[in-house]
Amino acid sequence: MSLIALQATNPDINLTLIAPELIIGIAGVLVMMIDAFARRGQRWLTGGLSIVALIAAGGASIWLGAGWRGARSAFNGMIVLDDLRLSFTLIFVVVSILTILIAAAWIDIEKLPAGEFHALLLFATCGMMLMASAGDLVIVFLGLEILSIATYVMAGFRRTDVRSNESSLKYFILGSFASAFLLYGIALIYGATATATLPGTTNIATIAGRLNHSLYPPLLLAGAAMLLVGFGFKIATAPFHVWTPDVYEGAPTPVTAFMAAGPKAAGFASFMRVFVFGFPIATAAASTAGYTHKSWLGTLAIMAALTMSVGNIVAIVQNNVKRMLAYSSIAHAGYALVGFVAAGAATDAEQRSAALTSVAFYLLTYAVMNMGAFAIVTLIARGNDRRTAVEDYNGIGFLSPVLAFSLSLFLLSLLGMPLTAGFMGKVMVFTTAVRQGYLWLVVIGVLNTAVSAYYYLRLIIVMFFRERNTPWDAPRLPVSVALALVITIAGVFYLGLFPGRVLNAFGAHPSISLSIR
Amino acid sequence: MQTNLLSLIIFAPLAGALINWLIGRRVRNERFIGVVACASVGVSTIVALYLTLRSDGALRATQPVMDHLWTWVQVGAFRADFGLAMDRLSGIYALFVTFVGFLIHVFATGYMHGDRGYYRFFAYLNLFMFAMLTLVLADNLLLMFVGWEGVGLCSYLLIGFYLDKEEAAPAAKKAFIANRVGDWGFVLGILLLFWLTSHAGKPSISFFDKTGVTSALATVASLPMDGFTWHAIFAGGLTSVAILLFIGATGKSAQIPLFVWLPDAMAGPTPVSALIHAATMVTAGVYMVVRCSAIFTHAPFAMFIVAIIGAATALFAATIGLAQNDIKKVLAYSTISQLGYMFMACGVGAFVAAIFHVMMHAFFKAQLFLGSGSVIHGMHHEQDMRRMGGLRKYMPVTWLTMCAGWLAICGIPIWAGFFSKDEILWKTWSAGSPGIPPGLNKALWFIGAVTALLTAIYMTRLMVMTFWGGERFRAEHVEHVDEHDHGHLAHTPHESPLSMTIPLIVLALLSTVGGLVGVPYALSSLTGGHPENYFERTLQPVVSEVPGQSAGSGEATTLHWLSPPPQPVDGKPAVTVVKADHGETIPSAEEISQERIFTLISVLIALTGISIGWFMFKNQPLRRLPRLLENRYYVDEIYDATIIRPILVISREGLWKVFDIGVIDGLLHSLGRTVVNFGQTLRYMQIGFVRVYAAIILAGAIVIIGYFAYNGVHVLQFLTR
Amino acid sequence: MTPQLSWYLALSAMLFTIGVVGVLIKRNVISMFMCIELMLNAVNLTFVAFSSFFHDVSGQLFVFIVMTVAAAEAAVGLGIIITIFRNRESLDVDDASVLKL
Repeated sequence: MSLIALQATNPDINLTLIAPELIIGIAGVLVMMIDAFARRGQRWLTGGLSIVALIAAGGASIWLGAGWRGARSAFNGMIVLDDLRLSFTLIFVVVSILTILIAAAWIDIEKLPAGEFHALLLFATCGMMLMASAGDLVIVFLGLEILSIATYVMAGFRRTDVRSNESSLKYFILGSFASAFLLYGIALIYGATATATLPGTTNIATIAGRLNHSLYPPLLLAGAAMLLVGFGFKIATAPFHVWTPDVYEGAPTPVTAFMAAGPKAAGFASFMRVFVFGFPIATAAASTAGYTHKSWLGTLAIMAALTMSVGNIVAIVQNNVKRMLAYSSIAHAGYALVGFVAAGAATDAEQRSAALTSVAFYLLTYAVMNMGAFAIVTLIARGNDRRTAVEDYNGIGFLSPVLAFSLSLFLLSLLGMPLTAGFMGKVMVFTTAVRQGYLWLVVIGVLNTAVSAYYYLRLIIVMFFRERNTPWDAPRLPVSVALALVITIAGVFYLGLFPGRVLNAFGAHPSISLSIR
Repeated sequence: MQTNLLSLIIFAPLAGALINWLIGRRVRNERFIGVVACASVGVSTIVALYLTLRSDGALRATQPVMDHLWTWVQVGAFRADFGLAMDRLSGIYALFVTFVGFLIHVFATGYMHGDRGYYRFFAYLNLFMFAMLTLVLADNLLLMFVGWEGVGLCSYLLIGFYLDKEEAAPAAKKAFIANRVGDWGFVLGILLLFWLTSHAGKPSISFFDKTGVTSALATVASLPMDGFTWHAIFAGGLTSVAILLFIGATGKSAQIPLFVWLPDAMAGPTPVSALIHAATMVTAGVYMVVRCSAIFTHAPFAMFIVAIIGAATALFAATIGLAQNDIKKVLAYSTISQLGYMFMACGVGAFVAAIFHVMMHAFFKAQLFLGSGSVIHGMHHEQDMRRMGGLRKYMPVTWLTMCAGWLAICGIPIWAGFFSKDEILWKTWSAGSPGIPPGLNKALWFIGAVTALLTAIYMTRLMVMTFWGGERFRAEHVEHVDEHDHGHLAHTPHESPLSMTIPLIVLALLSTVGGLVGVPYALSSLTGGHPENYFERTLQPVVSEVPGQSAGSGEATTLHWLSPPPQPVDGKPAVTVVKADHGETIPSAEEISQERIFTLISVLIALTGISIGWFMFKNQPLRRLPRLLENRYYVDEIYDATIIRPILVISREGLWKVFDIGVIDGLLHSLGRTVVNFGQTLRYMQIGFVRVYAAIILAGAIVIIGYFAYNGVHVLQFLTR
Repeated sequence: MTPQLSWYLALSAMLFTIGVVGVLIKRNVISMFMCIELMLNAVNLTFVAFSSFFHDVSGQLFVFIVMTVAAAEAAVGLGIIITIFRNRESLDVDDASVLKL
């Protein structure tokens, strides 16, 4: 109550503006309480509450986007309200709802504590939302850590399984390692943005204005490089992708699905905000701002090319489906980076906005098709993720047609088959990159999609043409997973056929205004 | 004109596919499935006929018939509609695609009788029609790409249709991968075109002017022409766009170097080969090139490459076709060869002739494939021509109708292929565009003529081996045939049911008289009747002119009417006259006499080819070929002394082995291996130790920080200055 | 001679480097974890140094947030380490290499 009282006296404390985060945070605490006091096996209760909270948060953010007429930033610029934030918030809501639906079956099979899982998921979602809404590096860091800590635990959620433990440990050590880099970057930027009269700052919009007045430009550049490393780790760009395959393979499949879609998108949200708006394109190339921009954009373009290529090429030789999808998720981060590079290179606000929209849209399409694919992998894998090798998919095409055809659809969408979501996403990011003149990057991207056909098709061929030698007991399709499949299949077609409405919603207002110096 | 009827053309087959997939699989009643499939395509056919031929229809109006369904994508300046447009080009295409497609659907109801995957087959086939018609009717490149990929996917599903056939899966995969290789060219071409039009101030990938969008092709037409140089290919200009699009076309239309998938694709059911791998899908590349003719005419070097690749493919595939024994393989190589012809026509700027040949080819090649399907059906799934012979007696309808297809593909006058092939040869000879250096047109003509000769020979061989001679399907006649016995030798071949023979008859009729829609002026003026070429007259307004092309062979710069201006005609099939949108170019008297001479030459070539084939294979259809190949020093036959034997040897031992198996496959394989090896190497970075990962991350961090620091030094220099 | 800002920065950079090297060379999970904590504290030192140099309190506030986060991370990290130890009876990270290639 005191907060609300404070809000009355200090208008910059604006709880409405963080309504989605508040809803999710409170729901997380409630779920934990229910789990502690209710009888065991109450997963419908906690799951239902989580879904309701997520939908409420989604509704709140839609309302903030459509109906809110008040201030567009609060808490001294720490929280901002713009389309970048809202579109990513909606992606997180979708991802988390789908994760709950997919995980329901898995929790049953493995006899895991549902309440804990749902609470962790909600906290992770809260962290992701904070990352997207952060207008200040402090909040970025806070959101990142809330997200990471919850995800470390989720990766090791199958406590008795060695692989799950190992996944969790690797994620934890490498994640903290990278977080330290990020934090050091923040500290250096805080120091480097001081001017003769003003102390340093961590506010992203203010940083942009201070670049050319920096007293210590080398510190600024070093800080930006450190930030790049930290974010690069989070979204798994080459060469910071090394943790991804191991962690994704070892983590329980629903968690892998979540990690590939949610935290990656959250990483993109704050990565883009910090670099596109914090170190924006400068009118004078021979200035501190100009060199900073040139450095990160050049690095990022090369990282995008590397990420796409490494992801796709290594995916070809994988024999484990989860691992293959992990590499595929690396490759997809590379495609999204192409749009990010375009956003960084754009000189006018309209084109920048279009590029940011394309990245958000790409990550939404990726989330939908990826969650769908992992839903089926979860079902086929059974308890303890036993069946995840490619051979386990031999000849199931006409034995379990629903599973096989849905998985084929998701794979084709990941491959970028027209009329599916994946195609639209790629068209978006590639056209925005072409508009900014990044033809070479687009050439590499398109070549990579040709390469990726090989391993996506391989799985389809295995399902439909390979003889099955071992008996196949078709997995039961639980209602929750069926619901998730319906949502994802509808999403794949909806986003592929009628992307207009979503794109409009993602790009209606320009992101925080930016005066180009 | 705006009408929603247009979308009915594409959505009727889609509805058919859905009904068959959802209901047909439960009902499992062949009649129900067949009726649904045929009726849905029938609806498309009727609507297409209505929309093209009505008084303000696509073939008569100057503006295309449009159907804007919804704005598909709009991000910034990039806009692609889910909109259909039917102009004269897509109108003609839609007409024959729906009509031939309908006939093949009917044929398939008989051919696939008793197959376990009956519903699946027709669902795929209808889905294919949906994709193909989307490709044809798309009003922008991106939607065209949807159809483009869609037909590829359906082709992949249908090649792999026989799940238990062991060559089916690899063949399907090969087709898909070869197409994907081509597709990256297509996608990049689209993106590059978008970039170029953005630079010209009118960002667009649309074919037509619509509200809010200008036609990309019109924008391109206003750009200056690219130079005729090698480096235009890599300059990122129109030549690059054209080359990238053409790479897409080589994949879809099985041209060198991406043709390898088409012969393997014959693993699919025969109606599929007829519909997808002969009549419609494989010609999509030609359609796309003609549709984008504005781009190609501004890129002379790309035209040059198109012509060369087309001619090379035509000759190369024809020589291989000579030595094949599988009836469908002969037709497959023949298809590749004919597609090469069409691209050669595009390359020399004869876009209309290319489309004319596409349409005629759709008629006669569909006929031949269905005929071969009927033979295969009658022979209980025997495809080896060495086990056939004398089928004339048993399958009279198939035989007679296939004769029409045979005469058409050989180019015997009044049959369809005669007019279209002759047109291409003549246009090649008289070509004079910036993309064709002097002398090259003569060389291309020569290649075309040799190909025509080879075509006549191998088609005659096919007919003779199948329908004439001894009945080799009885066990004792089989010599030099591979050992394994099929165990059905006791069967007597039988004629196919009505559902199969009726499409054969209709297609045979079309193969016979279809060519009359495009009788060139030089021939029609012989009869003194209506002199102009209806087909050319209809299409000319929608394709781009090659600069210098209309001047013909040189002196005919002042054009004059030799006979009264053209009048609309009654009673002619399919395509009728439209009022001229711009002046018809009537060639000079000299040109006409020259064209007539060349027509005579092509008839002679066809007749020579047929007689060579006839006399070579009539009496000893089986013995010759295997012995020739078994024993290369076998020299006592008369025609061994002629050019045939060397060509046979070269085609099978040389070209086929070296190129098809050795170079191309080897190249693809080694490329694939390199990628895989690279993948393996990278894979060993993942050795599983956390500390190694941390080290890799640190190394990456140091490189990045180093690069930033390097830039930081610049900043310091800048600040201290 | 009054301490300069650069001294603090150099010290924290050194501490950070020691932490990084420690993560790379230590094989015991707990030691690695301590090295990561060292990295975080090196950053804290940077913040405090800047904060005091600028006479600006926000840097110190940031340090509080980092300490809180580090505490949470420590709790989770130790939890993970305990589960691993239960299943493996070993704290050597190089033993945890089932997942590879």
